Amino acid sequence: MSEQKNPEATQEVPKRTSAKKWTESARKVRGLVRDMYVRAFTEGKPVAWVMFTLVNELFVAMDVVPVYPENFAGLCATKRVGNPFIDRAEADGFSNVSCSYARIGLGYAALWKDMGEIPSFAPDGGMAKPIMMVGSSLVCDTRYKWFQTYSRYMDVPYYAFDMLGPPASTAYRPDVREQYIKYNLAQLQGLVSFMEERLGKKMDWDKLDEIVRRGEKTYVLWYDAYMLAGGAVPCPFPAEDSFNCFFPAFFMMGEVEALDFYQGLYDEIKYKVDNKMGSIPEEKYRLLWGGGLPPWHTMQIFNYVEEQGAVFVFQSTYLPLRFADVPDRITDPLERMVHSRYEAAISRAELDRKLGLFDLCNFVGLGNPLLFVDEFKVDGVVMHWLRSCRGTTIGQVYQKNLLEERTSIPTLFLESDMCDVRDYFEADWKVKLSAFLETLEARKRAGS
Amino acid sequence: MAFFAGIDVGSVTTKVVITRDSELTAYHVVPSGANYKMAAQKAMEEVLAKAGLSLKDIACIVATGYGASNADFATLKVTDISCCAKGVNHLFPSVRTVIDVGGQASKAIRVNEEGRSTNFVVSERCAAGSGRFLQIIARVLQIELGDVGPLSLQAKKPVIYTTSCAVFGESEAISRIAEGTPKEDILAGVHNAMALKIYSLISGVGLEEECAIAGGGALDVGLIKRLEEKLGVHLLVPPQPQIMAALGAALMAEERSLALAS
Repeated sequence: MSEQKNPEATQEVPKRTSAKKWTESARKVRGLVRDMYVRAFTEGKPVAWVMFTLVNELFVAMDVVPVYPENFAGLCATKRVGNPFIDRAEADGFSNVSCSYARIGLGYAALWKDMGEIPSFAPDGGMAKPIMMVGSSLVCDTRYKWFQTYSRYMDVPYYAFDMLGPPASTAYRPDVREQYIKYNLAQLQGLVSFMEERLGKKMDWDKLDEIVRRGEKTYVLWYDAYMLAGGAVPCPFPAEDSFNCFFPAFFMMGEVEALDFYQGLYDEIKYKVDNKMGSIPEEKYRLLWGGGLPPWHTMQIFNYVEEQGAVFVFQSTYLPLRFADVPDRITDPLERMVHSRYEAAISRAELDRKLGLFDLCNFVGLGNPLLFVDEFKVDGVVMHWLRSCRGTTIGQVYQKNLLEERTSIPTLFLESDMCDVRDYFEADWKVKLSAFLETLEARKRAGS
Repeated sequence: MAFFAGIDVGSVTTKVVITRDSELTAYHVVPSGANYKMAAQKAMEEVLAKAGLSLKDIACIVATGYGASNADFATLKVTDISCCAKGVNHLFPSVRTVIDVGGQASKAIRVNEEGRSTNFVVSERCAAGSGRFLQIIARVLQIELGDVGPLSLQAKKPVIYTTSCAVFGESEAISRIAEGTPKEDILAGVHNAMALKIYSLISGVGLEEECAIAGGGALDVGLIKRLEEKLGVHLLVPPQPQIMAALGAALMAEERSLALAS
């Protein structure tokens, strides 16, 4: 593959909107993000635009540089340059309530096509030209058509696959497990065939096996680091850092750098926990970000509550997957991938089932807030209603009601969007957050 | 005995209250306009003139409301939710649920015996259920805002609004005018739609008698009638409902001074 030109965006960002980072590990993430985009231009390897699908290992094994439009959208929002892309996508008829991750990527592709070059304000030089698009059904319903539409703008082939998890009520049945694993395995086999055809080379199964096993270790470190931090008092790793540090797990899985990152994160958190090192000076209120994607356009809002003595000790949106040990008898790396992801999905379904909750689905975990308020000594829960993300907003009222029924922990709903800053009203957020903290104080005084 | 002040810089009006020994000494209301800083300054100067005081007579000032940060003469800021709870509790100590119908948003607040908010729900980012809805409809019907309530009480057949959205509500009002529907029936329909929206907010915190209503919306007798019908309770209305957050702010200023002194 020939090297692509990286246009190096230089536009000034009007003001800082990102949050202060409390850990060394979180401070490293920005460099990893930039590297992903730069590598796609400079390494001369084929590039794929990929939806977050838990299959990054396949791209690493095939020497493809995966670029994730969902991450790019979040990056654009953080830099407050997402809305010109959104406007362009809406001009092509995409609804203003369709996923803003999708709208930013679609607007980017449309503007590139209009201008014949990457828009100069694209952060980190933008997303390099792909040779394939890979989408999946994981998490939300926008996903199939989203990447299919990219493929039309960019004129490259597209492959979509399923990654299904079971409903809680049937997750424990062996026959259900067998069928799901069989189906998901066939889906991944189809994806490998597509990649082989597109790249003109065969998968190196030994290499994939090594990468998958490295990924398994990485997932465990990710999970252990996050859980260790969540329960620690004082909190060493607030949610804004946690929202940063999922990046290697989602977008670099299988790479040596991802494993090293989570080893480093675990060690850093362990050191801070052992030495009772928190983030803010006086931790008066412990909050849980209990649902909804974060406001990438204004992550500084997390520092706003910290100024008032509150800290989000955990976020249950990008929850690490709890990987069970894959049995040694499973030697096929694809089967190992499918097995571990299925087990991770049913661990959440199983939790919901034990809590007697509504049988919504697999990867979501309705019981998460309920579990974490107790485990992580939480005083209040904040959830984010997202105008353009049904996948992470659905179930929030149910979760709030559950918290009211089974605990005395109050919930605050905030309303905006993960990327579309037009839906964000800062004064409203600040008033609601401050009032929520005043309410927590009143409850503490009353001893409830 | 020192004087204390609370200033509520709201989206429509700026209210300021001066208290002494927890009793109302003076209050003043000015339009917030497009310059909150100027409105805060003007409101404070005018209330001081009313009370025959100067700024140095005020021991502590608490600012609240969306534009609180513009009251740069204030000692500290507290949210209007906590201030409104405090102000209403001062007048009605037995009240446990407070409805606040402001120009920008409506709120349902649970209040404890100390006058502190223990739970609250604020309307989403739209004008449904807020005073803005009433302003829009009054403009469409070409009547004064103060006439909205009394006129609504004369309704014989309130229209059924299919929306509580202020934007669509405006279109719907225009359609009804075109059909020849009397103004009072349109207004009663608007009040019903607002009552429904506020009822949904109260569901989020739980309705507990006694219940009071504050904010500029509480000056509207038509809205109160429809809300009482919807909620099935008698609503307590303070004599000057629009200054409850400012009153609460002044009381908090007093509390703070006492705490510092002790």
